[in-house]
Amino acid sequence: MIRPAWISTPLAGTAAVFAVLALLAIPLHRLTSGSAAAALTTPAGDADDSTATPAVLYLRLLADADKVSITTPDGTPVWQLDPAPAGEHDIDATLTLAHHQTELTLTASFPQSANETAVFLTVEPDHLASQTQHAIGSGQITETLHFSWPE
Amino acid sequence: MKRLLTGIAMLCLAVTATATAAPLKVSALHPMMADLARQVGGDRIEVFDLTKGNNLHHFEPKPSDMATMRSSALVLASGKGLESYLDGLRASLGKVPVIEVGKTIPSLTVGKDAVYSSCPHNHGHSAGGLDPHWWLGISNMKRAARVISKELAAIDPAGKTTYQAGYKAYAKKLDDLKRWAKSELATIPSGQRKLVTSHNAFAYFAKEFGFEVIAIAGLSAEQNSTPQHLAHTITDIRDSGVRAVFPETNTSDKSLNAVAKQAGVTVAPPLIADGTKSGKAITFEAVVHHNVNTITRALTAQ
Ligand SMILES: [Zn+2]
Repeated sequence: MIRPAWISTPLAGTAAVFAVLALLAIPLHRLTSGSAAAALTTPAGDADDSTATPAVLYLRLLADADKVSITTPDGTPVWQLDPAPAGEHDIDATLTLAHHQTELTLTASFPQSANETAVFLTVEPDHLASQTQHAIGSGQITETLHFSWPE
Repeated sequence: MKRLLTGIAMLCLAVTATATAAPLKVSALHPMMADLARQVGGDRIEVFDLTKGNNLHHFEPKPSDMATMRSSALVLASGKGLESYLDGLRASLGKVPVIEVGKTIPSLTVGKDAVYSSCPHNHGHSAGGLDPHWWLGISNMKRAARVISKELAAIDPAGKTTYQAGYKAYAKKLDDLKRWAKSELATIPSGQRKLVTSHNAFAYFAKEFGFEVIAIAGLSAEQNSTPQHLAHTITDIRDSGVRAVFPETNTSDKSLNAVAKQAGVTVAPPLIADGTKSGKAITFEAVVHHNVNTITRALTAQ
C-alpha cells in the first residue's frame, strides 16, 4: 500500500488516529479514560465475589504491531499475538469478574519508526454487553484498561 | 496398464470429491438462525428451516421434522425460552447437539429494562419475563454469527477456516447494515423515537437504536391485553405525541387498530418481528431493511 506523503509526518499520523477515533464515534472526553482507568485499582472484593466468566476478546489494531499481549494486572497471560498485523483479531478467553468489573493490561510493541497509533480492546463477557477501551501511543504502549458493567 | 491405473486414480479422486462435497446437514428451529447458518457456513452446509414460515411462538416439531433433525449434525435454536420444548427435544435426539444460539447474549426483561417507557402491567403480557426476540438487534446477530461459526467448526474441524471467513465477512456486512440503519433512523425527530407495536418484540431493536417501547400486547402476538391495559396504552400514546403505531406481518391487528383509532394516530404498514414475511422466511438483512424503512417513513411523515 502506498501512503500519501502527508501521513508519514508525526502530526499527520496523530491527526489520522483522531480521525479514525471520530469515525468510531468515540467521544473525545473518553480519550483520556484509558489513563484515568489505569489509576483505578480493582476493588478488593471478597474472593467469593469473583467469578470466572467466559468472554470473547476483540483486538483492533490500526497499524502492524510487532507483538501485542494482554495480561491480568498481576501478569497472568490472557492473549499473545506475535506478530500482530493491523486489523481485527478475536479469541475466546475466561476472565475473572469481581463486582462486574475487570482490568486487563495491554502491552503493544510497534516498530520504533512508526507514527502514533491506537489499539482497541473489546471485551464481550457472556450475558453482558460488549465494551471497548483503547490505548494510544507509539513504540511500546503499556496500559491497564478497566471494564465495568452495571450490577 | 497405465491407462487402468489412471482410471483407478480418477475414480478414487471422484469418490474423495463426492465425500468431501457432501454438505453438513444443519437444522434450524428459527428462520433467523437458518439465515445465520447459511451466511456463516455457505456451501459447506445444507440448512433446513423447520419452521417454514409458521408462528415461532407456537411451533413444535412434527415427526418429519424429528427425522430431519436426527439426520442433522447440528440443531440450532434461538434460546431465551422461545423453544419451550428443548428439554424434551434433547432427550429425544440423543447425540445430535441442540445449540441455543442466543444463550450468551445479554437479555432484556419485559417492563424492567429502561427501554420500556410504558411499563406493561402485571397481567397477560409477560411483564418480568425474558424477552426472547434478541435477533432483532444487529449487534446481537453479529455475536450470534460467531457462536455459530464456533459450533460448526467444533463439529467439522476441517471447515474451520471456511466458517471463520464466513463469520468475518458476515460480521462486516452487519457492521455496514448497522451504520446504514443508524443513519436512516437518525432522520426521525427525537420526540418520535417511540415504538408502539402489536407484538412486544422490538425492545432489542429499540435499545440498539435509542427508541422507547410502548408495549400493547405480550411477547407473543396472541397474548391479549385487558381493557384496562388498552385504556392505559391509549393515554400513553396520546401523551407521547407519537404519530404512528406498527402492526406486524402474520398477526391480528384488532387491538392495535382500536388503540390507534382511539388515540388518533396512523397505523403504519406492518413490521417483521419473527423473521417471516407473508409466511415466507427472508434474510435478516431484508428484515432490517424492511423494518428500518417502514419505521423511518412512518415516523417522519408530516
Ligand atoms: Zn415474536
